[in-house]
Amino acid sequence: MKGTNLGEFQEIVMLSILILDDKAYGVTIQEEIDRRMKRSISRGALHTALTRLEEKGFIVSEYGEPTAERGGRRKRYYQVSNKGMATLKEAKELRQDMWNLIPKLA
Amino acid sequence: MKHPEIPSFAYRLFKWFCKDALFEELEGDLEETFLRNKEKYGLKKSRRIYTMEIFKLIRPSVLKRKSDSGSEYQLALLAGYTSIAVRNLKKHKLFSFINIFSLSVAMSAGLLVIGMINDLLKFDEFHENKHEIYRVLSTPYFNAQENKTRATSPLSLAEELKLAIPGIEVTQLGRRLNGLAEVNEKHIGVNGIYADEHFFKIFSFDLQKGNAGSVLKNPHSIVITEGFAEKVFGEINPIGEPLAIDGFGTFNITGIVANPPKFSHLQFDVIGSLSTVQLHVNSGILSASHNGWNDPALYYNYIFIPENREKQQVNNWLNTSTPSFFPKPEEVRYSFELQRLDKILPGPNISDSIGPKMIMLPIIILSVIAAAILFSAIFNYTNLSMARALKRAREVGIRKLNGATRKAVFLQFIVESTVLSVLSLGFGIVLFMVLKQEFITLIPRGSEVLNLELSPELILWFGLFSLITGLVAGIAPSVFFARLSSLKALRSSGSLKTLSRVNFRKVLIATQFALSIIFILAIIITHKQYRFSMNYDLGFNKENILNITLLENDPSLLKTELMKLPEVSEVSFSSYIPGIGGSWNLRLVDPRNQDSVWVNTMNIDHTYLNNLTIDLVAGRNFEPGENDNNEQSILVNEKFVKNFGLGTPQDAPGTLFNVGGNSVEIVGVVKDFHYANLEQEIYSFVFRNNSHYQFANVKLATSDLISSLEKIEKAWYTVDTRNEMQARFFDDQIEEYNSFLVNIMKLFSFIGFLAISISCLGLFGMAIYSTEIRLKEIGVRKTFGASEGALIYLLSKGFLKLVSWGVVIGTPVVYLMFDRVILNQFFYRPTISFFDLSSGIFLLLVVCLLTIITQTWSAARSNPSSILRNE
Repeated sequence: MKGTNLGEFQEIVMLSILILDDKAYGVTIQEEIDRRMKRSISRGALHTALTRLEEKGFIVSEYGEPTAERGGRRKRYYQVSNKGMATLKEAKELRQDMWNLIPKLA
Repeated sequence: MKHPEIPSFAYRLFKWFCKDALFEELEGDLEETFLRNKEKYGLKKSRRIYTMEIFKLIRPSVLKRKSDSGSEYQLALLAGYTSIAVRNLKKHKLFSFINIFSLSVAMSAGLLVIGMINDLLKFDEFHENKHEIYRVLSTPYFNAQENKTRATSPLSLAEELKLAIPGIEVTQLGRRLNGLAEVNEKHIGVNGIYADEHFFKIFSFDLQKGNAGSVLKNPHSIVITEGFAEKVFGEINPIGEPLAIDGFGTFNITGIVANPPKFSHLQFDVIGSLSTVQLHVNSGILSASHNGWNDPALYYNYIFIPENREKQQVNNWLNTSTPSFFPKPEEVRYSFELQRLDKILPGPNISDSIGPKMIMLPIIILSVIAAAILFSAIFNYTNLSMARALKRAREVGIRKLNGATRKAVFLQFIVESTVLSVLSLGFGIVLFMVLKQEFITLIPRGSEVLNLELSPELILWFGLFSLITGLVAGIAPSVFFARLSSLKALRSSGSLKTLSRVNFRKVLIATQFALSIIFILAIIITHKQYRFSMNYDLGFNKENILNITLLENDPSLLKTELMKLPEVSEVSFSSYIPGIGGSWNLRLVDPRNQDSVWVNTMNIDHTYLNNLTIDLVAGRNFEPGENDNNEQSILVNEKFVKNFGLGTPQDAPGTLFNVGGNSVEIVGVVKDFHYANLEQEIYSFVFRNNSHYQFANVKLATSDLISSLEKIEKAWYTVDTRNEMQARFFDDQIEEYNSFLVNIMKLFSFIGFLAISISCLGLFGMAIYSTEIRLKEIGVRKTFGASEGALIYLLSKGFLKLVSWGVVIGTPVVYLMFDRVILNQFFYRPTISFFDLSSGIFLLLVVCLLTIITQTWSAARSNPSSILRNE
């Protein structure tokens, strides 16, 4: 299973991308994580996570149209791939199964 | 383009290191975040966040890969640059010569210092526990007055420490096991130390024969070094053989140790067992008080402390418990501290050291001087390269038109300067080999601590040093050429603004000459102090006197033999030789108020004053035999009379003092004389007459010193059949004592010569290039009737101005340095006169003028028609 492992931070990044739907690019992902996690992450840390996820094939990206608000530079939009979706669900199910096995809460 | 409010340094840094493919996305995101942050937190904070973000982006996935081309390509490029550099050096022979010469002489100074530091860092490195062995230092307080820190500490300290902290390991050493060893009728001088049985456990000396734990256990055991064994016993196995050392008795050889490494602060031929010391006391060789707390001048404690906690414990004990061991702490007490083994050499200036020592100050001074010289040579390179910019600009322009990047041009010029500095290193190492022996003798006690061997390690350091020198020298010209735009470079040469750096260059030249004048004046002033010291009236006669070390001979017997010679006019005896730095202390008790006071002292016989022509101001001299049985009289100097408030010298005789329990009377007052040296002020001084002498002072009646010396030696052997005569002429001794000034002078002369030749070479080069540039101007001026003299003046005045600036800056520096710091070491010293300073300045100006005129003269005399023909 090596190579499909999902780190906690990577999982959060993918979930943020899903939440943002078609507005997911660097700045919005960063803000989403800041808001949900109450913790400030650097663009560098986010970049590393995005690169890893893309290498594993969990997310895909494409450039948008240039906009004036950032000096004509294009945004790079991210989307979760099918493979990524499957892995996320798998991770969720694994957790849910384990939660269910805890006797006190049952 | 970036938003104007984004910090440009961070932006440029980011652009430089970020992969091109990622730049657009990341930069866009960062700018957007920046603008939002600006709304939220304000400009200042958002700028700071931006910069932090950039730094956090320095990670492998963002960083640019090395240039797309392979390392082979890079190597080929470098090789190409190197061959261009060599071609350029060949083409401009004069330029290359000036630079290689000045860099290599400057480097030789740097190499000597690197070699010295390299040697010193090796000291005591061979001990396995070098970071865990500590020496106990002691600082004496006499009458609550702090004295100089010593390396010695009381013998009893270890016993008490072991009681207080059980299980702690200490090894104790003693010094001065020095004498003549006698084996099989052979006499060999031996220098040894004492050590106890823990010595080989704590230190890593290589014991080759014998048991480490027991060789130094029993009294009269001795371990000898391999070298000493070979010298004395040859092929015979020395273990178990007796070894008699004159004055110390006979030892039994129990072990052989490898010769101590050169870089060890402990040096010895033999190690006697410390337990022997107690027997020495019984037989009277050592005084019974040798192991008391009050006089720890002979022994050393080395403590092995494996952990930090224990170090604190030992320190606490030294600070809090030791004061109670002193019988009269208000009069004499010592404070103790720990010194780690690897900090001993090079280390602080501590007296009573057991072996060679080296303090930091000369190392620092020499490093600074070497660095100054090196920078002077680097300035030359920078200056001349920039001055040649005119000629090289076209080359650079064409390179750039053909597509050379800034980086490529930069690299080309850096390679050029590095090639030059590596070439200089070759000559520098040759100079290093030639100069190193001389250098070692110039350093105080240099031969004991340095060998400057050219080891592979040292060559590696040298290589690194020359690379760095090359880089530093090349940086300014490289940046200059790399920035040159091809358009400007190729336009007619006249419009090129090479002189835009003119101020920078002027400052460099002025600095060089400031250095030169500092060294010239340093030589002149040191020479003045030397002449002053040599000619200073020390207050006694030192001519035609031969000082012979008495050893254990009967003074009166020797005197009888010597007086038989017609060449000898008088023989006197004394306990030490005045005027060469030493002084003895004596504690006097003033019976009027029971105050005890330390004064300087010396033991003499009744003929001494006459022999050295020390004048009596009042009272009388000692009478023969008056103090033989019971000491009852002393002589004092004028300063003594003044310090003790005894009125005029005529009033002083008759005053009583207590010396070592005896009541003594002042019978005479002598004129003040310099019993120590010129560094110390004359202090209260007492002549005693108690027949403890160490030297015979033989006054010769003839000027034929050589033949009388032979006769005296013959007479010596009638008295002493065992020992060689150790004799020195008094004036030689004084001259030798002052020879450190000669050494300093030699050092300054060498360095001064380097500084001046380097700066003059630089000046020479500058003169060549600047007259070349102005050749056309000269031609025009000449056709309009300018005289040769006026032209020479025109061409030279700029340079002379720079040299004068150097003088103006350097002179006050050197004056203050010597007047306030260096000559202040001497209590008796000459003043630095205007004449001394101006003669040095004059010399420098003349040398510079001659250098410049060689160039300006021919330029001024050139025929204008040949210069202007091409227009």
